[in-house]
Amino acid sequence: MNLPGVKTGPRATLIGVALSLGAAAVVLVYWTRGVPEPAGYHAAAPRDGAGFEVQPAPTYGQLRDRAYGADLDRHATAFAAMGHQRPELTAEVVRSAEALAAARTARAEHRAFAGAPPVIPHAIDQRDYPNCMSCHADGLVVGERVAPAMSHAPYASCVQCHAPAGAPPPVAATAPAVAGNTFEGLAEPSGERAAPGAPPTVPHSTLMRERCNSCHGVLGQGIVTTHPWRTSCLQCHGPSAALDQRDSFSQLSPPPVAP
Amino acid sequence: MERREFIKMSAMAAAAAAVEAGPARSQLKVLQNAGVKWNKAPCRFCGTGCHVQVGVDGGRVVAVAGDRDAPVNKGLLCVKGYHVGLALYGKDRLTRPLLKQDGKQVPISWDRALDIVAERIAAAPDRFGIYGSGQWTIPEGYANQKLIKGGLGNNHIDPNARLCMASAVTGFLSTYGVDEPASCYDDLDAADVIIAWGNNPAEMHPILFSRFIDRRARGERVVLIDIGTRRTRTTSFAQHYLEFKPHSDLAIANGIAHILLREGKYDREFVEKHCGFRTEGEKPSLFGEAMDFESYERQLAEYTPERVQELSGVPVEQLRMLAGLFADRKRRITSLWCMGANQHTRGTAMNRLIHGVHLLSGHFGKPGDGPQSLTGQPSACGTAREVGTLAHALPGGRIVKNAEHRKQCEALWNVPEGRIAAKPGFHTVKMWEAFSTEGGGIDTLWVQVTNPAQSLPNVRKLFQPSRKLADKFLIVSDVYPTETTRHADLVLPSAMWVEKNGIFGNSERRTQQWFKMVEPPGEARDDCWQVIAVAKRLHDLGVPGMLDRDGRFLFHMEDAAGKEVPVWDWRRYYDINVDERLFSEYRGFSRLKHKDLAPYDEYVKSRGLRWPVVKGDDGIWHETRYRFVEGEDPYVEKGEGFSFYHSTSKNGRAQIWYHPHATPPEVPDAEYPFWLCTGRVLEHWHTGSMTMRVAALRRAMPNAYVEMHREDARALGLRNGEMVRLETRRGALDLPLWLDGRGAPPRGSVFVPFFDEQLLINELTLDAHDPVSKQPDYKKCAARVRKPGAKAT
Repeated sequence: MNLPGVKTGPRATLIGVALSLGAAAVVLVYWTRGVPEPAGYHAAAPRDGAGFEVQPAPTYGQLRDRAYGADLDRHATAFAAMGHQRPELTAEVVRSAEALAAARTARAEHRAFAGAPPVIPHAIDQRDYPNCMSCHADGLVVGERVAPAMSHAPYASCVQCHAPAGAPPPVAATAPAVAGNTFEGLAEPSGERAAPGAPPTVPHSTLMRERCNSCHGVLGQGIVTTHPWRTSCLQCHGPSAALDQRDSFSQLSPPPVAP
Repeated sequence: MERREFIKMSAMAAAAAAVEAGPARSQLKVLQNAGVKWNKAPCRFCGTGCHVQVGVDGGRVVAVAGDRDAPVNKGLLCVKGYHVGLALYGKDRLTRPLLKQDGKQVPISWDRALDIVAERIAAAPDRFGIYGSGQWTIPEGYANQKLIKGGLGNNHIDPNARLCMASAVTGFLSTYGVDEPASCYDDLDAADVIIAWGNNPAEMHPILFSRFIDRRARGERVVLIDIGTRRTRTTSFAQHYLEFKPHSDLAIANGIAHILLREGKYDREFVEKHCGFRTEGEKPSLFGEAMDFESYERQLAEYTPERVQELSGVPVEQLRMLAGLFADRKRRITSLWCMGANQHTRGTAMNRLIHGVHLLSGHFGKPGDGPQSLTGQPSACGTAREVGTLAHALPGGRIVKNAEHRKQCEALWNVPEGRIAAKPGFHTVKMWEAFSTEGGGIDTLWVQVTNPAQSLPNVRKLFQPSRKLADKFLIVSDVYPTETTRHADLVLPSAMWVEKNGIFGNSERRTQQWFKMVEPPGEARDDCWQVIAVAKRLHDLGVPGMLDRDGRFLFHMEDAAGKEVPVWDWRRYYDINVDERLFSEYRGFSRLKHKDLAPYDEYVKSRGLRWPVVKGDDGIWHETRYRFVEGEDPYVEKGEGFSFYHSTSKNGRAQIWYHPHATPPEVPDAEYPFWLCTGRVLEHWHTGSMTMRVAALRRAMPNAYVEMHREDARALGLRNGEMVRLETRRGALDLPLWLDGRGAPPRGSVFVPFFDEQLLINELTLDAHDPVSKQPDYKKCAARVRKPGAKAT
């Protein structure tokens, strides 16, 4: 069956990783899947045959050759570790309250409040076109760490919303302490179910989080779904019109019928 | 539909309990969205004018989201915008009035504070000044304007916007006869080519930047041309980078015009029908001298591509490429500029030349085709420019010098004729000179919503001397301790953003309203209330000018029953909507220059409306996207195509100006061999008084630095990250050196951001300013760099 916007065939992306440390080139099978996954960013069709102008992410070889300064070690280590496999879509998912709690804590550490853009937990190139997409387009596993796929459409200027969690080293050397702030942010709420076994509703806004498998897909830590192969999430999990800022729609709908 | 009671799965409940015990507990409130009330507000920070949805629970802001229904930002925000709610909750908010006694600031009551302010003003009303900003809400600016010009009959009021967009104003006035952009942000959705003139929108106007750059991800072709003096984040997205020598941007614009004329590629029909030509007369002015097309052509003759390459450093091929784009009428070209063109001793000229290139080539008035000046403050347009809180201006585009304009204002304010003084007050640089000079024309200065001790140029000359003079009294209303409040004689704690009602006006003529959502902390109170409360005390002291023609208080307000409401009494201030009253009064000023505003309630319903907002035959209030364009602007008659109906030449034409390339006031030499440029960074807004108190922003960019080319650093024996001493003829500053950092200056040039109050770069900058706009140049002066402790060579 062919669904619009969904790639059904097996896909293999070969990325040559040439390591600067003199190691032999490693050919990485990025992923091979026989099960459909949302096509995400690859689905946008060029308009009027104008062709894409999304600047291609640099190859890992190019990254290696660039003067990254303090960033160099991170790249070298990250690429060495990328032989890890993504979990299979069909792999058994074990969920636990502890893992969920840990996931929530981890999420909170990177956000000022539920819905705030997460900070970047690693050093970045401060000036050049962000190469975030190299890792975050579809997400990947780097050693113990997961680079999640972006949860939203590809905005090009990533660093306009996502700030690094730390200062660039030359500046950090003289940085004074962070000033106190008493803000208490909204926490990620829990899903609600009409009855045990019913699919939970979407407890958060789906704006900027329309790509559910970014957090709930196979790389999701603690909040992974038990059925990552299903791709039309909102057909079972109802979003909130209020959180999605669709309140105005309710004015257009017929008045509720009295019970 | 009613929310039903849901049964939570036990695992979910257990998880929630575990979270409560976790480390996140201290920062995050565990609550359900159902308890959160959401409401709209424009973002507190820059002039883009994004709308945010503010989530409030338990009387506090707990979340912020991009407003999906906002035409400006369409649901997206930048990192500052997403964290704007945190700006309210810095631990060191000012919560009590503070009076300096024996060198220490001690808490006093509001009553005492207001008495002190009123007594200082009453003692010498003509030696009192107000220094405000483009962060004043429209009603705040209007109340100040009315108090000082319509009440005290003194024109000493100026905003920090003078430092920011004064050259844009004079550029618009002298080109179109009326201020503010004719085009709008819709251009960013339609342009084929975006030209950033000395502008870094990727950091300074991120939402506008992403509005066009993300079109590429949708498969559209958008060409970005960066004309700059250093490589920035914007450069990395640009197809073409034209690097020019500081101050030579005038030569580049002249070079484009030269090629268009010589190759006959200018828009002859548009120019013949709709344009006139001007050049600067003997004395710089808004109007200059008219000249004919032939003289214009003759003046430009020397700006051959080869000559421009010599002056600017931009290669001939790049100049031809740029001119070629303007020569192509089918392409839609949008120009963006901000501080690079404005903070320029030839700022008015540079603004005129950008407009001129667009007019000459006919790239004007179609979606995607036109010049769009950007502003840095949320209401630089709405308040500083439209309310006219400038030393020479009156509300609604009127000017102090014009007797008819004064008369109109006196009538609208219902104050006796002759109340408004005919002589303009002190503009920013003059005002601070007067305040920093013994016996100078200003003794008491009230600073509101701005931080001049950090943002003025050459602060050692303009700000610091006043603090040692006995006859000077500095009053500062602000929300946090700043470099300015620390030196103040009296500090008044203010409410900020959604702690009060407000109205801003953004860079595309969009007027945006919001309501108070949370209470200000401690005894912090609205700036607007502070002004009215002081006016009431002046009234009680019998200071002339606090009564209108009918003997009523200047800020007389009534409730629905027609009974006077004592809005000067804080407990009664929110009995009525003071913003709505002041705005309704101010609306009356907006018609003269066809900047018609809709009734307050229309703004409550919308995410802002772009003036002129005119009621149609359908009973609906319609905003205007493109001014001076038939079918868009309701004041352009059918069949005219275009009409510049406020033309300075009174014939419906816009002016194309000629200005020669000129040398800047200070250039690098053997002693000070580097160009010093200052500016902003993405994470911090202006002097950082709000953003430096937001952990996510401060962590990412905790302090200022100096950027330099690697080769220059090598030649000086300096290493990345080490402390270096930067010196100009005005001061010295030790900063960490950042090579290949956020920006990359070319050889012979350094850059320092100005947000850091610990590292005041404006002790080093020049106070030389544009002769027409009086706006200082923060972008160019001569500097040297060395190791601290090492001898200057």
